[in-house]
Amino acid sequence: MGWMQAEPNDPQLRCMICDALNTVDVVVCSECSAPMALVHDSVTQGRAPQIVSVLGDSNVGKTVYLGFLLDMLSQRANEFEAIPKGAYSVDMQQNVVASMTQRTFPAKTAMEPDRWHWAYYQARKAGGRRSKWYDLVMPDLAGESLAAEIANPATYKVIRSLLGKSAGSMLLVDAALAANGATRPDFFALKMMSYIDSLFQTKRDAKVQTPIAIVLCKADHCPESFDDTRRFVQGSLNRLWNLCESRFATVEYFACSSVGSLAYATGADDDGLEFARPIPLHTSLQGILEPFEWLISRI
Amino acid sequence: MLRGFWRQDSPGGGGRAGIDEDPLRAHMQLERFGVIVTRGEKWRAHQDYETIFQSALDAIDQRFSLVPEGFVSMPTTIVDEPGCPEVDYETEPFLLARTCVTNAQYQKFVDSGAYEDLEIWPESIWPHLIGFQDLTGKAGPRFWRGGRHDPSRSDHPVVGICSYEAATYAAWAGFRLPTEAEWQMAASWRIRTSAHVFRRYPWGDSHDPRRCNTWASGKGGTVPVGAHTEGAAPNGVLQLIGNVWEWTSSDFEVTDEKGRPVVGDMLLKSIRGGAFDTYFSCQATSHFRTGLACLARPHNVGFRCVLDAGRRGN
Repeated sequence: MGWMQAEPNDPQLRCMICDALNTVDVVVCSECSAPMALVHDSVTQGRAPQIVSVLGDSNVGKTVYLGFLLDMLSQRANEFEAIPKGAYSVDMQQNVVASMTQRTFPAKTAMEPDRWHWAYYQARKAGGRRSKWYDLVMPDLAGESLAAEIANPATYKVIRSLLGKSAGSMLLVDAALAANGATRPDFFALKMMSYIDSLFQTKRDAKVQTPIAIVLCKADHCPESFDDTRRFVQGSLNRLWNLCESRFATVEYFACSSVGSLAYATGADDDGLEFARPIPLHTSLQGILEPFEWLISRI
Repeated sequence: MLRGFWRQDSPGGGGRAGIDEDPLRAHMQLERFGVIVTRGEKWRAHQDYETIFQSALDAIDQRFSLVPEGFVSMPTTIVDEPGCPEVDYETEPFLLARTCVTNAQYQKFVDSGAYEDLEIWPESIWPHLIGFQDLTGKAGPRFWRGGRHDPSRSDHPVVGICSYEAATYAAWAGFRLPTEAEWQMAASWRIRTSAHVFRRYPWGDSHDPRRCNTWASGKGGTVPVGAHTEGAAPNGVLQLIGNVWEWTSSDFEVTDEKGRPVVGDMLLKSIRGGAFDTYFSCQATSHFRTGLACLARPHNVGFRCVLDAGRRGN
């Protein structure tokens, strides 16, 4: 608990993300902009939460994935039980559910860390021997911010701190793009994993031990990624596959989808510019819980 | 003449073993009941015509229910809110299958060599027909193996079939797919009476995950087509809500809230009813409209057949 309160009787609190000292009355950390409510809540809980980071390129679907994951957990899917700590933890799932029932995608996550949604949950799998509670902090990071940090490390101190402290990560990759032959998903994932590898500075022959779930999103567009996910990654994301094989000790591959059918509203906007706005016609959730279940069993 | 031209090495192709050589008996064996009762005249000279015709009628009586004439209102925009523009349709009486087509029923279609018989498929789909394969590359639904369904799922709805496969099966069996309006009429049971009752679900107005198989039911997959009898429509039609979405014969045509057309990567066909993985209960109702690419072969879409009421037994 030492990381929470700087010194006995010291009114300052240490940020759980970047370790900066903050006065107890600040809303966000003065250094990394993480919400101090996380620290207040963890002090109340009396234990340090573990961080699970959800990573991925812009538009890959991190917010939708995380929102549905948290909503499913809070509905006790697959015998999971999850309790939000703090009302702010519910914002993201509410935002995603409200948007998707209205057949719109949630707004893009802002690049500024003080505008990110942070979820702090207690979760456990009911029954059995593994029924221990996990205190989890899961932020909704902006893809553009991740890209900026990868390109110029230390641009976003909060990201560097988060990933350095993550007990596990989920790296979301756009399977639909990869299946169409686009190289961007492979290269972004390669950069992201390389960044994580460099964070831990392991010896040349030692592998990163942090468990990482590679999650192929929008997999309904390429059903073969559901049929044999490893084979799909080997074939369509070969650079990522090779790096994972070489440098990461605990990696697993998953496929998921949340949009049952995608259409586009087409036409011209008020300025006369042509556009095609994506519309999620209905929601069909596949493979959302599996990566999470795998990850927490390894942290 | 075209039979056998298409992929002669396919399973089911030439795989008519066990199917009666006598055409009328073969139709009965393959459960092409609709063909027998609507086009049976040509077999009137057959020695067993009366018996077989009556058996086909009995099968239809057992498997289909009458949906009375009615009317439906369907929103024409993607945002279905009170006050949004709607279009009304009148529907004639028709017979609707009480259950979706099962794997076992569809197996007969595959075993008959239907995927090799170009004549029964729309010409526009011929170039795509070779892609209608299962997990092992054999002709058939996407999740089958070796041209066969999983025997433990014989009574589950067939899935992994596109709208063309559904429509072709229905026509092959002597039936057709319901239009979107007919499907909605069957699920909402909106009969013209002084009350103009409209059901949000076939059983009433409240979502009940015990009456259907949606995400909230927690099954995580399809269930037999005869399950959830407590969710039946007044005429005994089962699972209009949940288990699998159902292909209809209608194109899915809507606009956004500003009247701009909503389109897909390819033609969208209307699907109805929600499936086992439908997360929002508001998307598994008698009136929720959505569409799916006509060539999509997902894990959660099946279909049921319709016979025009006037054609049964004529």
